[in-house]
Amino acid sequence: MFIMIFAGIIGFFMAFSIGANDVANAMATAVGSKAITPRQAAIIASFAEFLGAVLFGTAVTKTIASGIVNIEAIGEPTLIMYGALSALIAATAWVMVATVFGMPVSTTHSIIGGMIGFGLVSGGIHIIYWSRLAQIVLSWFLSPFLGGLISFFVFKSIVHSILHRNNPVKCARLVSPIAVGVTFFVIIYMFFLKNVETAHITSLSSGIIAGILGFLISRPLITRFIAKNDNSQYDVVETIFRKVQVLTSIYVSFSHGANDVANAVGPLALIYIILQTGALSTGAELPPYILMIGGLGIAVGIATYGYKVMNTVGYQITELNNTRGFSIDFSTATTVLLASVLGLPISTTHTVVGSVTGVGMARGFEVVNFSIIKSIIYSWFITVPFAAGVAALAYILLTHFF
Amino acid sequence: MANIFNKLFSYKSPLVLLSQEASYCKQAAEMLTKALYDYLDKNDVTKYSSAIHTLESEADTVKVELKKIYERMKWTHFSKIDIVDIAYNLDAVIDTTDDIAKLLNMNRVDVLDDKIKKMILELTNIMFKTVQEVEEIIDELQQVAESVFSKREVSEEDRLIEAIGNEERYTDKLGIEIGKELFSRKKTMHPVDVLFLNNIVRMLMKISDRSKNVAERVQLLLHHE
Repeated sequence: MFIMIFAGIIGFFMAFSIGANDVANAMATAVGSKAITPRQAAIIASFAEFLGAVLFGTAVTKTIASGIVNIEAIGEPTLIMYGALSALIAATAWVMVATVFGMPVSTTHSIIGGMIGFGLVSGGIHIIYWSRLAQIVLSWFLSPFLGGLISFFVFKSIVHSILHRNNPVKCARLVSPIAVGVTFFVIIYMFFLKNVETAHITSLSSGIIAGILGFLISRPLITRFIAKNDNSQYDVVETIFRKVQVLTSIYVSFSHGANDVANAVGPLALIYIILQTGALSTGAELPPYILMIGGLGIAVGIATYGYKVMNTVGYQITELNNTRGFSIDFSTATTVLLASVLGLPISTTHTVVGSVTGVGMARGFEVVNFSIIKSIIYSWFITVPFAAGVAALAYILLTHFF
Repeated sequence: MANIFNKLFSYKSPLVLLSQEASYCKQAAEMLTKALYDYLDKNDVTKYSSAIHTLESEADTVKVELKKIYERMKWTHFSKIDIVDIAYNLDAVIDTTDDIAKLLNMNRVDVLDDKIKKMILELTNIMFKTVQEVEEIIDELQQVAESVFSKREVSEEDRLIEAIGNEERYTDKLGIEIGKELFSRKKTMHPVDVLFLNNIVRMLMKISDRSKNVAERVQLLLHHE
C-alpha cells in the first residue's frame, strides 16, 4: 500500500507539473489572440482538463500502463510496481530538468521513455511491445501532420467562405455557427463512441443532434452580437470568432486532459491493478478516482502556477488573431481527442506546432519560425533515452534497496 | 514544457511595426511642413528640429526591432527583402525630413519673392501628402494580410499606390521648375541662398521619391504573392 501512496504522490506531482507548464502551451493561442484572459483560461482549463481526464483518459492510461511493456513476462508483481514507480520518477525528473532549462520536451515522451527503460532493465529487449511502440512513435510524427492538415483546411475554408467574400460579416453570421456545430458534433460523437460504447450509428446520430443544437443556439446569439457591433468588417469577423474561440479553448483543454492525464497516472494505474488483483491482470477496470487524482493534479497545477505561465506564454502575440486562433485550436483539439480515443499518447504541444504550421502554409501569418520543428525533433531523441536511462537506474536502486 | 511560442512567433507583427514607422514619418513630415511655413515667413524654427529628431530616433528603434524579427524568423508570409526594403525607404524618408529640419537652422534666406515661396510651399504640401499616403498604404497592407489577400483589399491598395505615383511625378516636375526659377534669380538673390533653397527642394523631392519607392515595393509584394 505504501508504494501506491508514494506513486500517488509522485503521479499527483507529475500532473501538477503538467498543469503548471504544459497547459499554458495548449491554451496559448486562445490567450494570445485575446479570446480569453489568462485568469479565464485558468478557470476554463481547471474544469475542462479534469473532465477530459475523467471522461476520456482511460484508453491512453491503459496504453501507458500495459501497452508498452509486457508485464506478464516479468512475472514478479513487486518488481513491476517498482518499475512503474521508476518510470514515473524518471519522467517527472526529466520534465523538471527540461522546464528549468526551457527545453520543449514532452511529458508524454518522457513517460514512454521511462516505461521503456524499466522494461529493458527488468526483462530485456523481448518484453517491449515493439510493434505497439512503433505505432506510438508513428503517432508522434502523424499528430503534428494531422493537426497541420486540419488547420490548413479549416483556415482555408474560413478564407474562402468569409474573408474573401464581399460581405465578410454576413458570411461569418452563417459560417461561425456551423463551426460551433461541428465542434459540438466531434465532442459528442467521440464521447458516445468511446464512453457510452453505443452502436456507431447511435453515436453518429447523437453527434449530429448535438451539432444541430450547437448551430441553432449559437446562430441567434451571433446575429444579436453583429447587430450591436459597428466596427470594420474584419474586426467584426474577428470578434465573432473570439466568441467561438472560447468554446474551442474549452475543447483544447478537454482534449489535453484526456490525453495527458495518462502521463501522470499511467504507472499509478499499473500499480493499482497489481495491488487490486494481486496478479498481472491487464484486463482489470480502472477506477475513476485514479483518473481523478491526475485530473485534480492538473487542475491544481493550473490554478496555482499555470495561469502565471499563461500570462508570459500567450499574452499579446499580436500576430495571432481569432480566425487563426480558432483554426489552430479546433485542429489541435480534434487531433488530440482522436488520439485519446485511439489510446495513442501524443504531445499536445507538438500538435499545436503542427496546427500553427498548417495555418502558416495557408498564408495566415506574416512570420513564423518553423526552425522550432528541429528543436522538437532533437528533444525526442534526447527525452526518450534520458527518461529510459533514469528509469533503469531508479529501478536498479529500488529493487536493490527495498 | 517550455514556452514554444516565443520561438514560434515574433509576438509583434512586422506589419504593425512598419505601420508605427510610417506613422513616425507622417508626424515628422507634418512637423516639417509647419517648419517650412514658419521658415519662409521668417519665424524661428529651432523647436521643430529637436522634435523631428526625437521622432527619427523612435522610428530607428522600430526599424531595428523589425530587422531583428526577420533575422530570427525562418518562414515569412511576405518576402523578407521587400519588407526590409520598405523599412529602409521609410527610414530614408524620416532621415531626410530630419536633415531638412536641421538645415533650416543653419541659414536664413535674405531675399525671397512670393512666387518662389508659393512654389516651395506647394511642393511641401505635396511631399506631406505623399508621406500621408504611404502611411495609408502600410495600414491597408495590414488589411490585405488580415483578409489573406482578398481581391477587394488588393484593389484598394492598388488604387492608393497609383495615386502616390501621380503625385511623385508632379513633385519631380515642380522641383525642376523651382530650380529653374531659383537659378534665374542668381543676380538678385545671394548665390548661397539659391543653392541652399535648391538643396531643400531636392531633399523634398527625395522624400516623395522614397515614398513612391515604398509604394512600389508594396505593389511588388501584392502581385508577387
